[in-house]
Amino acid sequence: MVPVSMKQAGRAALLVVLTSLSPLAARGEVAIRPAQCTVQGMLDDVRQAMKHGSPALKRYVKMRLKEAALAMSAESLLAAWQGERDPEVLEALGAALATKASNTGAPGLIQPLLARAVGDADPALRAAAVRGLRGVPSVEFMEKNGGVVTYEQLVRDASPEVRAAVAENLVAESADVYSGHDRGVSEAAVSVAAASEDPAVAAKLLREVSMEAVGHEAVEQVTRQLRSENPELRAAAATALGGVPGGEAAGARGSLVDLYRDDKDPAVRKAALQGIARLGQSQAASVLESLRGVDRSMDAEIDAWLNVLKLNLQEWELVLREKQRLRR
Amino acid sequence: MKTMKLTLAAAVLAATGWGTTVTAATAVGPICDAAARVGSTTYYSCSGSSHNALDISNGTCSVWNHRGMINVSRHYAYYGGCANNCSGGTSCNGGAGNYYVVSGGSGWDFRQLHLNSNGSSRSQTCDRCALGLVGSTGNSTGAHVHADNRQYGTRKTAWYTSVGTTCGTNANCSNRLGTPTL
Ligand SMILES: [Zn+2]
Repeated sequence: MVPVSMKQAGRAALLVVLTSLSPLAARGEVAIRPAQCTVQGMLDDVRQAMKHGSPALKRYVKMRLKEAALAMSAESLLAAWQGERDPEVLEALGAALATKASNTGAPGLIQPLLARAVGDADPALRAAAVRGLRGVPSVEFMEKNGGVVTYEQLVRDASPEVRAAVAENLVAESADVYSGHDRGVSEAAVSVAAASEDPAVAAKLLREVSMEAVGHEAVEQVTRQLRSENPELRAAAATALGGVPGGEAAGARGSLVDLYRDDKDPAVRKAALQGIARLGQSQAASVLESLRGVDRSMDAEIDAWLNVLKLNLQEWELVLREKQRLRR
Repeated sequence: MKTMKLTLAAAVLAATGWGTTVTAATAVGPICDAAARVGSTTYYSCSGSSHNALDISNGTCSVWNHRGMINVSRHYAYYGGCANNCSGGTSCNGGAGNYYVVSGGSGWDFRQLHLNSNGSSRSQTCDRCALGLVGSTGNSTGAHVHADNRQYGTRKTAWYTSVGTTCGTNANCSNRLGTPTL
Protein backbone atom coordinates (compact mmCIF):
# COMPACT_ATOMS: atom_id res chain seq x y z
CA MET A 1 0.00 0.00 0.00
CA VAL A 2 1.55 3.28 -1.11
CA PRO A 3 0.85 6.21 1.22
CA VAL A 4 -1.53 8.76 -0.25
CA SER A 5 1.02 11.57 -0.24
CA MET A 6 3.46 9.43 -2.22
CA LYS A 7 0.76 8.62 -4.74
CA GLN A 8 0.02 12.30 -5.17
CA ALA A 9 3.69 13.15 -5.53
CA GLY A 10 4.02 10.42 -8.14
CA ARG A 11 1.06 11.81 -10.03
CA ALA A 12 2.47 15.33 -9.94
CA ALA A 13 5.82 14.09 -11.24
CA LEU A 14 4.18 12.18 -14.06
CA LEU A 15 2.12 15.20 -14.95
CA VAL A 16 5.30 17.24 -15.35
CA VAL A 17 6.97 14.53 -17.43
CA LEU A 18 3.99 14.11 -19.74
CA THR A 19 3.37 17.81 -20.14
CA SER A 20 6.97 18.38 -21.14
CA LEU A 21 6.78 15.44 -23.56
CA SER A 22 4.03 17.18 -25.47
CA PRO A 23 5.49 18.84 -28.56
CA LEU A 24 2.67 21.38 -28.61
CA ALA A 25 2.44 22.42 -24.99
CA ALA A 26 5.17 25.00 -25.26
CA ARG A 27 3.47 26.95 -28.03
CA GLY A 28 0.96 29.35 -26.58
CA GLU A 29 -0.46 31.15 -29.60
CA VAL A 30 -4.15 30.76 -30.43
CA ALA A 31 -5.21 31.16 -34.03
CA ILE A 32 -8.00 33.59 -34.91
CA ARG A 33 -11.10 31.78 -36.16
CA PRO A 34 -14.65 32.68 -37.11
CA ALA A 35 -16.63 33.28 -33.91
CA GLN A 36 -19.12 30.44 -34.39
CA CYS A 37 -16.38 27.88 -34.90
CA THR A 38 -13.93 28.54 -32.09
CA VAL A 39 -13.05 25.81 -29.64
CA GLN A 40 -14.51 27.89 -26.81
CA GLY A 41 -17.75 28.52 -28.72
CA MET A 42 -18.20 24.81 -29.34
CA LEU A 43 -17.30 23.94 -25.77
CA ASP A 44 -19.92 26.38 -24.50
CA ASP A 45 -22.47 24.53 -26.64
CA VAL A 46 -21.33 21.22 -25.15
CA ARG A 47 -21.52 22.71 -21.64
CA GLN A 48 -25.07 23.99 -22.21
CA ALA A 49 -26.24 20.73 -23.78
CA MET A 50 -24.79 18.64 -20.94
CA LYS A 51 -26.72 20.76 -18.41
CA HIS A 52 -30.06 21.14 -20.18
CA GLY A 53 -30.06 19.13 -23.40
CA SER A 54 -31.82 15.95 -24.47
CA PRO A 55 -29.73 12.79 -24.94
CA ALA A 56 -29.87 13.36 -28.71
CA LEU A 57 -28.59 16.94 -28.38
CA LYS A 58 -25.81 15.76 -26.07
CA ARG A 59 -24.70 13.19 -28.64
CA TYR A 60 -24.92 15.76 -31.41
CA VAL A 61 -22.80 18.47 -29.77
CA LYS A 62 -20.13 15.94 -28.83
CA MET A 63 -20.06 14.54 -32.35
CA ARG A 64 -19.91 18.04 -33.83
CA LEU A 65 -16.98 18.96 -31.60
CA LYS A 66 -15.17 15.78 -32.61
CA GLU A 67 -15.69 16.43 -36.32
CA ALA A 68 -14.78 20.11 -36.07
CA ALA A 69 -11.65 19.22 -34.12
CA LEU A 70 -10.30 17.38 -37.17
CA ALA A 71 -9.90 20.78 -38.83
CA MET A 72 -8.96 22.82 -35.74
CA SER A 73 -5.43 23.43 -34.57
CA ALA A 74 -4.16 21.05 -31.94
CA GLU A 75 -2.83 24.04 -29.98
CA SER A 76 -6.28 25.54 -29.49
CA LEU A 77 -7.71 22.20 -28.34
CA LEU A 78 -4.82 21.59 -25.96
CA ALA A 79 -5.15 25.07 -24.47
CA ALA A 80 -8.84 24.43 -23.75
CA TRP A 81 -8.00 21.00 -22.32
CA GLN A 82 -5.59 22.36 -19.72
CA GLY A 83 -8.16 24.68 -18.16
CA GLU A 84 -11.26 22.47 -18.33
CA ARG A 85 -12.76 21.35 -14.99
CA ASP A 86 -16.19 19.99 -16.00
CA PRO A 87 -15.98 16.17 -16.33
CA GLU A 88 -18.50 15.87 -19.18
CA VAL A 89 -16.92 18.67 -21.19
CA LEU A 90 -13.48 17.28 -20.48
CA GLU A 91 -14.54 13.87 -21.78
CA ALA A 92 -15.95 15.40 -24.97
CA LEU A 93 -12.80 17.43 -25.52
CA GLY A 94 -10.67 14.37 -24.82
CA ALA A 95 -12.63 12.34 -27.35
CA ALA A 96 -12.05 15.11 -29.89
CA LEU A 97 -8.28 15.07 -29.26
CA ALA A 98 -8.15 11.27 -29.39
CA THR A 99 -10.09 11.19 -32.66
CA LYS A 100 -7.75 13.78 -34.12
CA ALA A 101 -4.82 11.59 -33.02
CA SER A 102 -6.38 8.60 -34.78
CA ASN A 103 -7.12 10.61 -37.91
CA THR A 104 -3.67 12.15 -38.28
CA GLY A 105 -1.56 9.25 -36.96
CA ALA A 106 -0.29 11.43 -34.09
CA PRO A 107 -0.48 9.40 -30.87
CA GLY A 108 1.34 12.23 -29.05
CA LEU A 109 -1.95 14.14 -29.04
CA ILE A 110 -3.30 11.89 -26.29
CA GLN A 111 -0.45 12.69 -23.88
CA PRO A 112 -2.48 15.38 -22.10
CA LEU A 113 -5.28 12.82 -21.60
CA LEU A 114 -2.83 10.33 -20.11
CA ALA A 115 -1.36 13.00 -17.84
CA ARG A 116 -4.80 13.96 -16.58
CA ALA A 117 -5.95 10.33 -16.25
CA VAL A 118 -3.11 9.57 -13.90
CA GLY A 119 -2.45 12.98 -12.38
CA ASP A 120 -5.59 14.98 -11.72
CA ALA A 121 -6.47 15.25 -8.03
CA ASP A 122 -10.21 14.99 -8.83
CA PRO A 123 -11.30 11.38 -9.47
CA ALA A 124 -14.21 12.51 -11.67
CA LEU A 125 -11.75 14.29 -13.97
CA ARG A 126 -9.36 11.34 -14.01
CA ALA A 127 -12.27 9.10 -15.06
CA ALA A 128 -13.38 11.62 -17.70
CA ALA A 129 -9.86 11.67 -19.15
CA VAL A 130 -9.89 7.86 -19.35
CA ARG A 131 -13.32 7.86 -21.00
CA GLY A 132 -12.02 10.35 -23.59
CA LEU A 133 -9.84 7.52 -24.92
CA ARG A 134 -12.80 5.27 -25.73
CA GLY A 135 -13.17 4.03 -29.30
CA VAL A 136 -9.65 4.85 -30.49
CA PRO A 137 -6.62 2.50 -30.60
CA SER A 138 -5.69 3.60 -27.08
CA VAL A 139 -3.66 0.50 -26.16
CA GLU A 140 -1.43 1.04 -29.20
CA PHE A 141 -1.28 4.79 -28.54
CA MET A 142 -0.17 4.24 -24.93
CA GLU A 143 2.65 1.99 -26.14
CA LYS A 144 3.67 4.54 -28.76
CA ASN A 145 3.84 7.15 -26.00
CA GLY A 146 6.48 5.03 -24.30
CA GLY A 147 4.22 3.12 -21.91
CA VAL A 148 4.58 5.96 -19.37
CA VAL A 149 0.90 5.47 -18.54
CA THR A 150 -0.78 2.07 -18.97
CA TYR A 151 -4.20 0.62 -18.25
CA GLU A 152 -2.51 -1.78 -15.76
CA GLN A 153 -1.59 1.30 -13.78
CA LEU A 154 -4.92 3.09 -14.23
CA VAL A 155 -6.94 0.06 -13.11
CA ARG A 156 -5.33 0.37 -9.66
CA ASP A 157 -6.75 3.88 -9.19
CA ALA A 158 -8.36 4.48 -5.80
CA SER A 159 -11.56 5.63 -7.53
CA PRO A 160 -14.04 2.95 -8.68
CA GLU A 161 -15.19 5.34 -11.43
CA VAL A 162 -11.72 5.36 -12.96
CA ARG A 163 -11.40 1.58 -12.70
CA ALA A 164 -14.79 1.09 -14.37
CA ALA A 165 -13.79 3.47 -17.17
CA VAL A 166 -10.66 1.39 -17.80
CA ALA A 167 -12.72 -1.80 -18.19
CA GLU A 168 -15.30 -0.11 -20.40
CA ASN A 169 -12.59 1.31 -22.68
CA LEU A 170 -10.94 -2.07 -23.20
CA VAL A 171 -14.26 -3.83 -23.82
CA ALA A 172 -15.30 -1.16 -26.35
CA GLU A 173 -11.89 -1.05 -28.03
CA SER A 174 -11.77 -4.81 -28.57
CA ALA A 175 -15.33 -4.99 -29.91
CA ASP A 176 -15.83 -1.70 -31.78
CA VAL A 177 -12.37 -0.96 -33.19
CA TYR A 178 -11.25 -4.52 -33.91
CA SER A 179 -14.43 -6.65 -33.90
CA GLY A 180 -12.65 -8.83 -31.34
CA HIS A 181 -9.79 -9.76 -33.68
CA ASP A 182 -6.89 -7.87 -32.08
CA ARG A 183 -4.41 -9.87 -30.04
CA GLY A 184 -2.78 -6.81 -28.45
CA VAL A 185 -5.99 -5.39 -26.97
CA SER A 186 -7.20 -8.80 -25.75
CA GLU A 187 -3.87 -9.54 -24.09
CA ALA A 188 -3.84 -6.07 -22.55
CA ALA A 189 -7.28 -6.78 -21.09
CA VAL A 190 -6.03 -10.06 -19.60
CA SER A 191 -3.02 -8.30 -18.06
CA VAL A 192 -5.20 -5.51 -16.71
CA ALA A 193 -7.54 -8.08 -15.17
CA ALA A 194 -4.53 -9.72 -13.51
CA ALA A 195 -3.28 -6.35 -12.24
CA SER A 196 -6.67 -5.30 -10.92
CA GLU A 197 -7.41 -5.48 -7.22
CA ASP A 198 -11.10 -4.94 -8.01
CA PRO A 199 -12.63 -8.38 -8.80
CA ALA A 200 -15.73 -6.89 -10.45
CA VAL A 201 -13.55 -4.97 -12.94
CA ALA A 202 -11.37 -8.00 -13.62
CA ALA A 203 -14.47 -10.14 -14.13
CA LYS A 204 -16.00 -7.68 -16.58
CA LEU A 205 -12.80 -7.70 -18.65
CA LEU A 206 -12.54 -11.48 -18.82
CA ARG A 207 -16.25 -11.96 -19.46
CA GLU A 208 -16.67 -9.33 -22.19
CA VAL A 209 -13.39 -9.03 -24.10
CA SER A 210 -12.86 -11.41 -27.02
CA MET A 211 -10.18 -14.07 -26.46
CA GLU A 212 -10.12 -15.29 -30.07
CA ALA A 213 -6.57 -14.08 -30.79
CA VAL A 214 -4.72 -14.40 -27.46
CA GLY A 215 -1.45 -16.32 -27.09
CA HIS A 216 -0.44 -19.06 -24.66
CA GLU A 217 0.81 -16.75 -21.93
CA ALA A 218 -2.51 -14.92 -21.76
CA VAL A 219 -4.37 -18.24 -21.56
CA GLU A 220 -2.18 -19.16 -18.58
CA GLN A 221 -2.94 -15.80 -16.95
CA VAL A 222 -6.68 -16.41 -17.39
CA THR A 223 -6.31 -19.98 -16.08
CA ARG A 224 -4.72 -18.67 -12.88
CA GLN A 225 -7.85 -16.58 -12.27
CA LEU A 226 -9.83 -19.84 -11.93
CA ARG A 227 -8.31 -20.00 -8.43
CA SER A 228 -9.51 -16.54 -7.40
CA GLU A 229 -11.32 -16.25 -4.09
CA ASN A 230 -14.08 -14.35 -5.89
CA PRO A 231 -16.70 -16.58 -7.57
CA GLU A 232 -17.71 -13.89 -10.09
CA LEU A 233 -14.10 -13.69 -11.27
CA ARG A 234 -13.75 -17.47 -11.44
CA ALA A 235 -16.90 -17.67 -13.56
CA ALA A 236 -15.63 -14.88 -15.82
CA ALA A 237 -12.30 -16.67 -16.28
CA ALA A 238 -14.21 -19.83 -17.27
CA THR A 239 -16.23 -17.84 -19.79
CA ALA A 240 -12.99 -16.39 -21.20
CA LEU A 241 -11.37 -19.82 -21.54
CA GLY A 242 -14.32 -20.88 -23.67
CA GLY A 243 -13.28 -18.31 -26.27
CA VAL A 244 -9.57 -19.04 -26.69
CA PRO A 245 -8.08 -20.01 -30.11
CA GLY A 246 -8.15 -23.61 -31.36
CA GLY A 247 -4.52 -24.28 -30.51
CA GLU A 248 -5.25 -23.54 -26.85
CA ALA A 249 -8.54 -25.44 -26.72
CA ALA A 250 -7.25 -28.77 -25.33
CA GLY A 251 -5.55 -27.16 -22.33
CA ALA A 252 -8.49 -24.86 -21.67
CA ARG A 253 -10.93 -27.76 -21.85
CA GLY A 254 -8.90 -29.68 -19.27
CA SER A 255 -8.88 -26.67 -16.94
CA LEU A 256 -12.64 -26.26 -17.29
CA VAL A 257 -13.32 -29.93 -16.59
CA ASP A 258 -11.21 -29.72 -13.41
CA LEU A 259 -13.00 -26.52 -12.45
CA TYR A 260 -16.40 -28.16 -12.93
CA ARG A 261 -15.40 -31.12 -10.75
CA ASP A 262 -13.79 -29.09 -7.94
CA ASP A 263 -15.64 -25.78 -7.70
CA LYS A 264 -18.82 -25.92 -5.58
CA ASP A 265 -20.23 -22.57 -6.74
CA PRO A 266 -23.21 -23.12 -9.09
CA ALA A 267 -22.54 -19.99 -11.20
CA VAL A 268 -18.92 -21.06 -11.69
CA ARG A 269 -19.99 -24.57 -12.68
CA LYS A 270 -22.51 -23.12 -15.10
CA ALA A 271 -19.81 -20.97 -16.70
CA ALA A 272 -17.48 -23.98 -16.92
CA LEU A 273 -20.13 -25.92 -18.88
CA GLN A 274 -20.66 -22.97 -21.21
CA GLY A 275 -16.91 -22.73 -21.80
CA ILE A 276 -16.68 -26.45 -22.61
CA ALA A 277 -19.62 -26.19 -25.01
CA ARG A 278 -18.02 -23.24 -26.79
CA LEU A 279 -14.54 -24.72 -27.09
CA GLY A 280 -15.29 -27.61 -29.36
CA GLN A 281 -18.52 -28.67 -30.91
CA SER A 282 -17.48 -32.24 -31.76
CA GLN A 283 -15.60 -32.95 -28.53
CA ALA A 284 -17.93 -30.96 -26.34
CA ALA A 285 -20.75 -33.54 -26.27
CA SER A 286 -18.65 -36.43 -24.93
CA VAL A 287 -16.94 -34.22 -22.34
CA LEU A 288 -20.29 -32.85 -21.16
CA GLU A 289 -21.72 -36.39 -20.96
CA SER A 290 -18.78 -37.43 -18.79
CA LEU A 291 -19.63 -34.71 -16.29
CA ARG A 292 -23.15 -35.90 -15.68
CA GLY A 293 -23.64 -36.93 -12.06
CA VAL A 294 -20.81 -34.80 -10.65
CA ASP A 295 -23.46 -32.36 -9.39
CA ARG A 296 -27.06 -33.60 -9.81
CA SER A 297 -28.46 -30.09 -9.65
CA MET A 298 -26.44 -29.18 -12.78
CA ASP A 299 -27.46 -32.14 -14.93
CA ALA A 300 -30.38 -30.24 -16.47
CA GLU A 301 -27.88 -27.61 -17.57
CA ILE A 302 -25.75 -30.30 -19.22
CA ASP A 303 -28.84 -31.67 -21.00
CA ALA A 304 -29.69 -28.21 -22.32
CA TRP A 305 -26.22 -27.85 -23.82
CA LEU A 306 -26.32 -31.32 -25.36
CA ASN A 307 -29.67 -30.52 -26.98
CA VAL A 308 -28.36 -27.26 -28.44
CA LEU A 309 -25.16 -28.84 -29.74
CA LYS A 310 -27.23 -31.42 -31.66
CA LEU A 311 -28.62 -28.56 -33.77
CA ASN A 312 -25.18 -28.04 -35.37
CA LEU A 313 -25.53 -24.27 -35.39
CA GLN A 314 -22.45 -22.78 -37.01
CA GLU A 315 -21.99 -19.60 -35.01
CA TRP A 316 -21.43 -19.26 -31.29
CA GLU A 317 -23.88 -16.35 -31.06
CA LEU A 318 -26.65 -18.61 -32.39
CA VAL A 319 -25.66 -21.49 -30.12
CA LEU A 320 -25.71 -19.24 -27.08
CA ARG A 321 -29.03 -17.66 -27.97
CA GLU A 322 -30.64 -21.06 -28.47
CA LYS A 323 -29.26 -22.27 -25.14
CA GLN A 324 -30.68 -19.20 -23.41
CA ARG A 325 -34.03 -19.86 -25.04
CA LEU A 326 -34.05 -23.43 -23.66
CA ARG A 327 -32.69 -22.61 -20.22
CA ARG A 328 -31.52 -19.34 -18.71
CA MET B 1 -38.10 -1.86 -34.37
CA LYS B 2 -35.16 -3.78 -35.79
CA THR B 3 -32.70 -1.60 -33.88
CA MET B 4 -34.50 -2.31 -30.64
CA LYS B 5 -34.38 -6.07 -31.22
CA LEU B 6 -30.67 -5.96 -31.97
CA THR B 7 -30.00 -3.88 -28.86
CA LEU B 8 -31.81 -6.37 -26.64
CA ALA B 9 -29.94 -9.30 -28.14
CA ALA B 10 -26.64 -7.52 -27.56
CA ALA B 11 -27.56 -6.86 -23.92
CA VAL B 12 -28.33 -10.53 -23.32
CA LEU B 13 -25.04 -11.59 -24.90
CA ALA B 14 -23.05 -9.06 -22.92
CA ALA B 15 -24.32 -10.62 -19.72
CA THR B 16 -23.04 -14.07 -20.65
CA GLY B 17 -19.84 -13.44 -22.54
CA TRP B 18 -18.41 -12.00 -25.67
CA GLY B 19 -20.06 -13.11 -28.89
CA THR B 20 -19.65 -12.07 -32.48
CA THR B 21 -21.95 -9.11 -32.95
CA VAL B 22 -22.15 -6.99 -36.06
CA THR B 23 -23.12 -3.34 -36.36
CA ALA B 24 -23.89 -0.86 -39.09
CA ALA B 25 -20.86 1.37 -39.62
CA THR B 26 -20.86 4.59 -41.63
CA ALA B 27 -18.67 4.90 -44.73
CA VAL B 28 -17.79 8.34 -46.12
CA GLY B 29 -16.08 9.26 -49.38
CA PRO B 30 -12.40 8.21 -49.66
CA ILE B 31 -11.14 11.37 -51.40
CA CYS B 32 -11.25 14.82 -49.77
CA ASP B 33 -11.99 16.58 -53.07
CA ALA B 34 -15.32 18.12 -54.03
CA ALA B 35 -14.80 16.69 -57.53
CA ALA B 36 -14.89 13.07 -56.32
CA ARG B 37 -17.82 11.12 -57.80
CA VAL B 38 -19.26 7.62 -57.73
CA GLY B 39 -18.80 6.08 -61.19
CA SER B 40 -20.07 2.50 -60.76
CA THR B 41 -22.37 0.82 -58.28
CA THR B 42 -24.29 -2.46 -58.68
CA TYR B 43 -23.46 -2.42 -62.42
CA TYR B 44 -20.34 -0.97 -64.09
CA SER B 45 -21.15 2.64 -65.02
CA CYS B 46 -24.62 1.82 -63.61
CA SER B 47 -25.65 0.00 -66.83
CA GLY B 48 -22.95 -2.59 -67.62
CA SER B 49 -22.19 -5.98 -66.10
CA SER B 50 -22.48 -6.88 -62.44
CA HIS B 51 -20.13 -5.13 -59.98
CA ASN B 52 -21.89 -4.94 -56.56
CA ALA B 53 -19.51 -2.34 -55.15
CA LEU B 54 -18.70 1.37 -55.41
CA ASP B 55 -16.05 2.81 -57.73
CA ILE B 56 -15.05 6.35 -56.84
CA SER B 57 -12.79 8.72 -58.72
CA ASN B 58 -11.87 12.38 -58.99
CA GLY B 59 -10.15 12.07 -62.36
CA THR B 60 -6.59 12.14 -61.01
CA CYS B 61 -3.94 9.49 -60.38
CA SER B 62 -1.29 9.29 -57.64
CA VAL B 63 -2.06 12.83 -56.45
CA TRP B 64 -4.87 12.65 -53.89
CA ASN B 65 -4.88 10.66 -50.67
CA HIS B 66 -6.89 7.45 -50.66
CA ARG B 67 -8.44 7.64 -47.17
CA GLY B 68 -10.07 5.13 -44.87
CA MET B 69 -13.83 5.36 -45.39
CA ILE B 70 -15.21 4.13 -42.05
CA ASN B 71 -15.87 7.18 -39.90
CA VAL B 72 -14.65 5.77 -36.59
CA SER B 73 -11.34 4.16 -35.62
CA ARG B 74 -11.00 0.74 -37.27
CA HIS B 75 -8.11 -1.59 -38.07
CA TYR B 76 -7.12 -1.51 -41.76
CA ALA B 77 -5.06 -4.58 -42.71
CA TYR B 78 -2.82 -3.78 -45.72
CA TYR B 79 -2.06 -6.10 -48.63
CA GLY B 80 0.57 -4.42 -50.81
CA GLY B 81 3.38 -5.38 -53.13
CA CYS B 82 1.96 -4.05 -56.41
CA ALA B 83 3.95 -1.45 -58.37
CA ASN B 84 2.21 1.90 -58.58
CA ASN B 85 0.23 2.24 -61.77
CA CYS B 86 -2.09 4.74 -63.46
CA SER B 87 -3.54 2.55 -66.21
CA GLY B 88 -4.07 -0.79 -64.48
CA GLY B 89 -4.90 -4.08 -66.15
CA THR B 90 -2.61 -6.25 -64.00
CA SER B 91 -3.47 -9.35 -61.97
CA CYS B 92 -1.46 -8.26 -58.92
CA ASN B 93 -3.04 -9.59 -55.69
CA GLY B 94 -5.69 -11.38 -57.73
CA GLY B 95 -6.66 -8.13 -59.44
CA ALA B 96 -7.26 -6.23 -56.19
CA GLY B 97 -3.93 -4.41 -56.49
CA ASN B 98 -2.76 -2.80 -53.24
CA TYR B 99 -5.70 -2.96 -50.87
CA TYR B 100 -7.03 -2.76 -47.33
CA VAL B 101 -9.46 -4.95 -45.41
CA VAL B 102 -11.45 -4.01 -42.31
CA SER B 103 -12.61 -7.28 -40.67
CA GLY B 104 -15.93 -7.26 -38.85
CA GLY B 105 -17.86 -10.07 -37.16
CA SER B 106 -19.72 -13.07 -38.65
CA GLY B 107 -17.68 -13.10 -41.86
CA TRP B 108 -18.30 -9.47 -42.76
CA ASP B 109 -15.58 -7.22 -44.11
CA PHE B 110 -15.11 -3.89 -45.86
CA ARG B 111 -12.41 -3.49 -48.51
CA GLN B 112 -10.79 -0.60 -50.37
CA LEU B 113 -8.87 -1.57 -53.52
CA HIS B 114 -6.42 -0.40 -56.21
CA LEU B 115 -4.44 2.25 -54.30
CA ASN B 116 -0.98 3.42 -55.20
CA SER B 117 1.25 3.02 -52.16
CA ASN B 118 3.23 5.72 -50.38
CA GLY B 119 4.79 6.17 -46.93
CA SER B 120 1.34 5.87 -45.31
CA SER B 121 0.63 2.43 -46.77
CA ARG B 122 0.79 -0.16 -43.99
CA SER B 123 -1.57 -2.01 -41.67
CA GLN B 124 -2.86 0.54 -39.18
CA THR B 125 -5.73 1.42 -36.88
CA CYS B 126 -7.15 4.85 -37.54
CA ASP B 127 -10.15 7.06 -38.24
CA ARG B 128 -10.41 8.18 -41.89
CA CYS B 129 -6.62 8.47 -42.17
CA ALA B 130 -4.55 8.62 -45.36
CA LEU B 131 -3.83 5.04 -46.46
CA GLY B 132 -2.01 5.75 -49.71
CA LEU B 133 -2.79 7.51 -53.01
CA VAL B 134 -5.74 7.14 -55.36
CA GLY B 135 -4.27 4.81 -58.00
CA SER B 136 -4.90 2.00 -60.44
CA THR B 137 -3.06 -1.10 -59.22
CA GLY B 138 -4.49 -4.51 -60.09
CA ASN B 139 -7.37 -5.12 -62.47
CA SER B 140 -8.43 -1.50 -62.80
CA THR B 141 -8.99 0.75 -65.78
CA GLY B 142 -7.97 4.17 -64.57
CA ALA B 143 -7.33 5.46 -61.08
CA HIS B 144 -10.19 5.00 -58.64
CA VAL B 145 -11.16 3.61 -55.25
CA HIS B 146 -13.16 0.38 -55.30
CA ALA B 147 -15.08 -0.15 -52.04
CA ASP B 148 -17.08 -3.25 -51.16
CA ASN B 149 -18.82 -4.80 -48.16
CA ARG B 150 -18.85 -8.59 -48.17
CA GLN B 151 -20.09 -11.42 -46.00
CA TYR B 152 -18.06 -14.63 -46.31
CA GLY B 153 -16.66 -13.26 -49.55
CA THR B 154 -19.97 -12.32 -51.21
CA ARG B 155 -20.41 -8.66 -52.13
CA LYS B 156 -23.56 -7.05 -50.76
CA THR B 157 -25.28 -3.97 -52.14
CA ALA B 158 -27.68 -2.84 -49.40
CA TRP B 159 -24.99 -0.77 -47.65
CA TYR B 160 -25.02 1.86 -50.41
CA THR B 161 -28.42 1.36 -52.07
CA SER B 162 -30.11 1.95 -48.71
CA VAL B 163 -28.78 5.51 -48.57
CA GLY B 164 -29.41 6.29 -52.24
CA THR B 165 -25.81 6.29 -53.44
CA THR B 166 -25.69 5.90 -57.24
CA CYS B 167 -23.62 6.96 -60.26
CA GLY B 168 -22.85 10.67 -60.00
CA THR B 169 -23.22 10.85 -56.21
CA ASN B 170 -20.68 13.29 -54.79
CA ALA B 171 -18.03 11.21 -53.03
CA ASN B 172 -16.16 13.94 -51.17
CA CYS B 173 -14.89 12.72 -47.79
CA SER B 174 -17.49 14.78 -45.94
CA ASN B 175 -20.35 12.84 -47.58
CA ARG B 176 -21.83 9.57 -46.38
CA LEU B 177 -21.83 6.94 -49.13
CA GLY B 178 -23.18 4.00 -47.18
CA THR B 179 -23.68 2.04 -43.99
CA PRO B 180 -21.62 -1.15 -44.33
CA THR B 181 -22.12 -4.02 -41.89
CA LEU B 182 -19.05 -4.91 -39.86
ZN1 LIG C 1 -14.85 -1.71 -58.67
